Parts: sequence; C-alpha cells; structure tokens
Amino acid sequence: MIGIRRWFPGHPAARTSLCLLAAIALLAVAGPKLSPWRFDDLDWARIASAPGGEGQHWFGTDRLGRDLFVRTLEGVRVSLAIGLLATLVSLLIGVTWGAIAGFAGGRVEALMMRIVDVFYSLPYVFFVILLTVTLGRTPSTLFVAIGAVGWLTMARVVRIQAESLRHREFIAAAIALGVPTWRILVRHILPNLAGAVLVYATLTVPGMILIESFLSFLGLGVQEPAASLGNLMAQGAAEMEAAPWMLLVPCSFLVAIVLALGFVGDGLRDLLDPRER
Amino acid sequence: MRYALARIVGLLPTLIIIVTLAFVLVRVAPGGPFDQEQTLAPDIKANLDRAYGLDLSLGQQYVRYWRGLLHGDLGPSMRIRDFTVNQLIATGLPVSLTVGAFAFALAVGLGVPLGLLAATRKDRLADRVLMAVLALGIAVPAYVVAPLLVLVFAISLHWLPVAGWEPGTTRDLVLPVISLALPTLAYVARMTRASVLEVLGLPYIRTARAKGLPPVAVLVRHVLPPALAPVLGYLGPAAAAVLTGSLVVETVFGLPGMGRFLVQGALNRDYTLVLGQVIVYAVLVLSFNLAVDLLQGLLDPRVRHDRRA
Amino acid sequence: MSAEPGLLEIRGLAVRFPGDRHSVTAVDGVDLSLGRGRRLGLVGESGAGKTQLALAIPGLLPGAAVVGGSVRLDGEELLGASASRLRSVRGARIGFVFQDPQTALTPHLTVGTQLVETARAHGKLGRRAARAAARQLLERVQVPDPATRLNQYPHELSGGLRQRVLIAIALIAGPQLLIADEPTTALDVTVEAGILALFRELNAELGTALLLVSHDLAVVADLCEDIAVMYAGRLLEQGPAAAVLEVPAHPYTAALAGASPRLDAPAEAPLAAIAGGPPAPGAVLTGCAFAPRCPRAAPRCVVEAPLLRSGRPGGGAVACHYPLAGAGPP
Repeated sequence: MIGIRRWFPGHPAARTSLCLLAAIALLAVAGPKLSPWRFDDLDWARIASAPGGEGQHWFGTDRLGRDLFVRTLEGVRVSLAIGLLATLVSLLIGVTWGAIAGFAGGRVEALMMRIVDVFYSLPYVFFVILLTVTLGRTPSTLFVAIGAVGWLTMARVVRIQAESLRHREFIAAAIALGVPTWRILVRHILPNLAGAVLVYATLTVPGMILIESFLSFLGLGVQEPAASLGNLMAQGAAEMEAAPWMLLVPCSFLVAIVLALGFVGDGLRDLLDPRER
Repeated sequence: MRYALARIVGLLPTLIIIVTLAFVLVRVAPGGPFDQEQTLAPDIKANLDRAYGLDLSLGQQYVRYWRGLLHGDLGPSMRIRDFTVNQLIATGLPVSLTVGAFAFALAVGLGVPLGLLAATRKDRLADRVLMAVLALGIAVPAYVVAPLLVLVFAISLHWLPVAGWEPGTTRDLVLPVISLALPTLAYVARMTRASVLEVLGLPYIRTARAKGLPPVAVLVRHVLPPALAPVLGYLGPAAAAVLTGSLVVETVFGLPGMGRFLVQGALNRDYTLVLGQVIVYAVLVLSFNLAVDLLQGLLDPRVRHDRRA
Repeated sequence: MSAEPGLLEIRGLAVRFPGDRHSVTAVDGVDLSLGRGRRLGLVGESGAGKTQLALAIPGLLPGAAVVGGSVRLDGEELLGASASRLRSVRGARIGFVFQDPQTALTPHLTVGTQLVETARAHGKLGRRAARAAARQLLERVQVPDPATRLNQYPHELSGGLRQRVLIAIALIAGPQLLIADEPTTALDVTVEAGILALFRELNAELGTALLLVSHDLAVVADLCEDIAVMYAGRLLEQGPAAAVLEVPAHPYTAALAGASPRLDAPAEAPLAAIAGGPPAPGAVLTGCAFAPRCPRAAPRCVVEAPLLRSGRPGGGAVACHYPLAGAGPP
C-alpha cells in the first residue's frame, strides 16, 4: 500500500478512486460467495423487503424476492465486463483506423477522418440500437455493438499522435531505409502510441458502461434474469414509490464506478501526458 | 452564401451513406418482423411478406425504399398495423422536440453562465463546489437523474406530477426537462470554464487589462467570443446527446414521444419504423450541425477571411 | 538624481511568487525613479525580473504574486490601490506596450475597436470622436492608410504595424508614462530601428516619460537618457546611460556591455560571453547575487550584500564592494 502514494503524484482523487475501484472489483468477485443467495434465487417469503432486514438480504430484495446484494454485484460484474470488452473492441478499431489515417496522410487521411466526422455528428446510440437489432441482445453481442460504434474519439486521438510521429526523424529514417509500411506501423508507430491510448481507453470505459446501462435500462441490453446495473435500475425505477432502495443501490454503484474511472483517467493523463488538454 | 450552399450540397453524400448503412444494418439481421408469430400459416406469412415487399431482393427493396424516401414517405410500420411510419413520427416528434428543445435551451442557457462564474472564481469556494457538483452531473446519466428527481420532488415532496403528459401543461414538463438537461448542462459548464480559463491566460487579455477596461468589457468583448467557440462546436453533439437521453426520459415519465416507438421497433424488428426514426434523427442532427457551423463562420473573422480567400 | 520627486518613484519594490515548497523572489527590493518626460532603460538578462517589475507598476501581475514596497505615480501610491482606482490609472496615465505584437492584440476585434474602446474607457469621447482620434493617432505612429487599418483585424497587419497599433493603443488616452516591455525583440532589425525612432519622437513631442525594458544594451544606449541595470531581481547600477555604458562601475555592467553585439562592430567579432549563468529562481542569496560569476569577487562579496550607493563617478549609483574605475565607496 505504501507504493500507491507514488502512483499519482499530486492526484489524491485518482489514488482514492483506484482503491475504490479495486474494492468494488474485489467485492464483485468475492461478495456473492459470502451471501447464502444466488443471483436468481427466489425468496418467496421476503418479497421487496428493505435492506438490512431478515434473511441475510443485506441490500434487501426485489419484487420477486431475489437478493439485491448478490444481484447488484452480479450487475457490477456484467457492466464492468461489457464496459471493458467494448472498450477493447473500440480500441482495436479506433487504433487501427487512426494509425492508418495518421500514417498515410494526404487524401486517405482526409477521407478517413471525414468519415469519422460524419459519424461523430450523429447520435451514435441510435446506431448501437440498430446493431442490437442486427446482432441480438446477449451480453456478448452487446459489447461488440457498443464498441463498434464507440471508436470515433479513439481514432481521432490516435490519428493526431500518429501524424506527429510520422514527421519524427526515426520514422523518416525507417521509411528511407525501405522498411515496409505495415512494419513501421506495428514496430514503431503503435508502441509510441501506447501512452495516449491507455489514457484515452481509461476515459472510454465509463462511457461504455453508461451506454450499456442505458440500453439495458431501455430493455435493449442485458435481459432478465441476468443482471446488469442498467436493468436493475430499470426495475428499481419502476418500483421506486414503494421500494426506493431497489433504485438507489444500483445507482450508487454505477455513479461510484463511473466517477472513479473518470478520476483515474485524469490521473493517468497527468502522469503520461503532462500537456493540458 | 456560396459557402452555405456548398455545405448543404455536401450533406447529401453523408445522408446517402447514413440511409444505406442503416438500411443494411437492419436488413442483414436474421429473422423478420413476422417470425415471432409462430402461429402464422406459411401462406399468410408469404402474403404479409409480399404486402411489405419483403419477398423482393434486398437491392429491389433498397431502391423501393429510396423511391419512397424521396417523396418523404418512410413506408408503413410493419408491426403497428394500419399506421405509416410518417403518422407515428408525426404523433411522437412534437412531444420529443418540445422536451428536447427546452432541455437543450436550459443546458446551454444555464451551463454557459455557470461555467463563466466558475472560471472567474477559479479555485475559490464557489468554483470548487460548482465543479464537484458538475463532475457528479456528468457521471450521472439522465436515466439515473430522472427517477431520483421523481423520487424526491414527486413522491416525497408531492410538488410535481410523477409522470404523464397533457398537452399545454408546463408542470408535466419540469422534471423531464431538468433530468434531460442536467448531464449536458454539466458538460457545457465544464467546457465553458476550461475554455474561458484558457483565454484568460492569453497575452491579449493582459493588453486589454493594461488598457484599463472595466472587467465586464474585458470579459464580454475580449474573452467570451473566442472562449465560446468550442462550446459552439459542442452544440451539435449536445443536441445528439439530448435526443439520445430523451429516449430514457420519455420512458421514465411516460411521455408519448418518439422514444417508445424506437424501443418497441427495435424489440419487434419493425424495420421501417426503426429505419425511419434513425433517418429523421440523423437529418435533424445534421441540419442542426450545419446551422451551428454557419453561425461559427459568422462569428470568427479569421474563418470568414479564410473562406473568402 | 535630483531631489525633486519624479513622476514615478519606486521604493523597496519586492515581487514574490509563493510556491508549495519555497517561494520565488522575482524582484528583491528595487528603488527606482523616473522624472517627467525622461527616458529610462531597464536592462538585464532574461529572468532578471525586469518584466515582473514593469508589470508590478500598474498592478498587472498575476493574482498569485505577492508585492511589497511602494510604487508612487505623481505622488499617488499604486500598490494596494483599489481595483477601480488602478483601472483609472491603467491606459489613462500609464500606457503599456507588450513584447510580442503577434499575440498582444485581440484577434477577433478590429484595430479600430481596440483603439476606440481604450479611448472611451477613459474619456467622455463619443464613438465618432474616438474613432477620429484613433485615426489621427495611427497616422501619428506612422501607420499608412489609417482609415483602412481601423477596419482590419490584427492578422491582416504585419508585425511592425501591429506593434505601432499597440503603441497607439497605449498612447490614445494620453498617459504620462509609457512602459514598453521588450517592444522590439520580436521584430526584424530594420523594423526595430523605425519603432525606436518613433519612441524618441513621441517622447519629444508628447512629453510622455518612457520606461523601456530590454535585454539589449544597444537599444537602451540608443534611446534612453538613463539606465538601470538589473540582475537576479536587484538593481546593480544606475545612472546616465552614456556615463554608465562608457565607464561602467559594476563588473556586471562591464561584462554586459562587452557581451552585447554592437552594430558598429564587424559582424565576425566574437561576443564576449559572461561565464556561468544567473542564479536559479528561488535560490537563497547571501551576499552579492553576481559574486559567483564575478571576476573581481572577494570573500566579503559572498557574505555581505552591497547596497546601492550614490557617488558613482559620472553620476548615478552602484551596488558593489569593489567597483571598477577606481572610484566609489571603499
């Protein structure tokens, strides 16, 4: 724990957030084992009971008597997993697109970035919805759909970096030596992009989690009985007059995760890229 | 003027790409709108397919769709019987646009002054409190804010209705508009603050202060025009964000807007309905972006100059 | 210096930037006088605190700076004056010309707007009258075709023209004092000569006193009657420019005079560089700040800081235990 102090100098919020994220992740993995309930067990004796009540339902139960502690942690796991995987998908597409555009330059770059601009100006969630129609609504297709649409900013970030790299001497030297383009991209450009990509990827994860919970909230994402923070909140919103905790518990987790990821991303940016944006 | 025309013409290829992409995405999906009704006899299904043109090849369907589109016809809904997509959109769009326009106006109209306030009070208490609240506002999406607002103001305090929509009543609008506006408002405010602070550090602001101008004049004349440029550039994405958020807000508050059609359409594979809405939204956002772009050109003498050249 | 109080009287001016660990002292107890209509050159290497001193006079330092001492303009104390009081001094009684004309003008406002708003902030001029005054002044600072220029944006002007516009802005409200911070550093040599000539003409014609901040001795020698040499936040020597530059009393001034390129010297002549570098900002100084680089430094110089004493041969004052040219305090 001593080393953590050194991770984000001058960024106490990033340090706290990292610890909080670690705690949430640990809880999400280990927590369900502490409870006698499984995420789809029905406790008919205690339907919609408040948190801290009997039956070891620490966060209470939902309308079907399912344990909210376990379901929320299950939701955290699903949401985190989809967020991370979707980021990975967007990373793959965005980095490839941006690196090629930035390295190619000229007309290819202009055309590729024009396409990004066009998509950028569109409400892309609608395209995610279109994709969920196409791909179906399972968690595995969901992250592909979200990632396939969320790569635009990554492409922009990478292009700017790649373009500035292109004009550096060692790249010019590699070109002059006749090193094949793909090799320059893989061996020289990509490794030098790692810092910027890592920073931006961290900042992308919360956005991806928000889109997932958005879709699940609307019923277009993770389907019952599986849990995600989004569909838990949708059920909570439906019951909030009688059982506000059903909404508040998943809400707090979502907000905590999204905020913490944002702070960690800011901390990383200051660490790896001291220039202010 | 020539520039404006060129920009409008430049939108056409974009629109063609969008329509094509949306069409392809919807149509490569396995299964059709009538698959779920398993009791459907094969000949009835064939009749239905023929009635909606689903028996034609994809290319033919595409051409047919364009022919309709050019006449402003988005086709019949495949699942909501006896309604055309145009009719459905005509019932939903006014509601969505009303809520969206109010939310957008609130987000920009309040977000910019708040950002400005924070920037001029940098690192003081007002700035810190505001920035903390705004950070929360960005992290908390509309679908969290909306139910929470209902919980507090409608269920606990009974100040405002929980949900519902009667045309012409403003009380029904308050909570949906606020919850829709908040995340965008927070973003606009943070952006304004960052941008104003950046401009305040520029050398020409020191010149303006050295001239002995009153602070308000420095702020209004020297700081704001360049500081608002990035905010102006964000208005397009902000409009898109508000439209997106309206899907959820309409669901939470039971508003009869476009949102429910899109969700139902996506769940039921109502090709034409989803396609029609995506196209309408895309056109809305694109024309809004165009308007912002032209406005930006009017405000910045350097852009104007470059374009003249 | 004469006993009669000058236009600008600076006493014990100190500028400090507090930091997390240690604070940085940019200006360290400077006394300076400038008489009405006089031209004073403030020279020193970059980082000597010249600009901070200049900015401190009309209260233009960033909010983080801690300023102490006294700055009097015409007997009126400016340090600690209210914001509105300072505003009525800035522009109206003290005009300021900044270093880089590329960035010192607001890009989205026309030249005319920026001139007119200054005139109107300090006078009861109507829009029309202010515009006429602006046009006249542009003509006076030798901007060709002033009527057209008024409607142009800064990016449409050359660097030299922009600097002339900045001078016009600084002068439009008729100040008693013009502070110019490295006004020609960003300009070509040919343009520089024109701007310097303009400063001299304006001073003679309008009687506006000039405080010229520069790292370039040649510029100061060319333009100023008096000179003040600054090093690491302190004044080392001051006096009539001709006397100080011809027979420097302080070893630093002598080295600086040797290091500065002379227009009349052959281009190939090597510049005499001063060995070492100025103390790091934030370094704690005991003794003379120049001692580590001084060829004449004695043990006393490292321990005891010399005070600025008058009695310099040829007039003025010097802060050195062992001044050159034999004279001065022991």
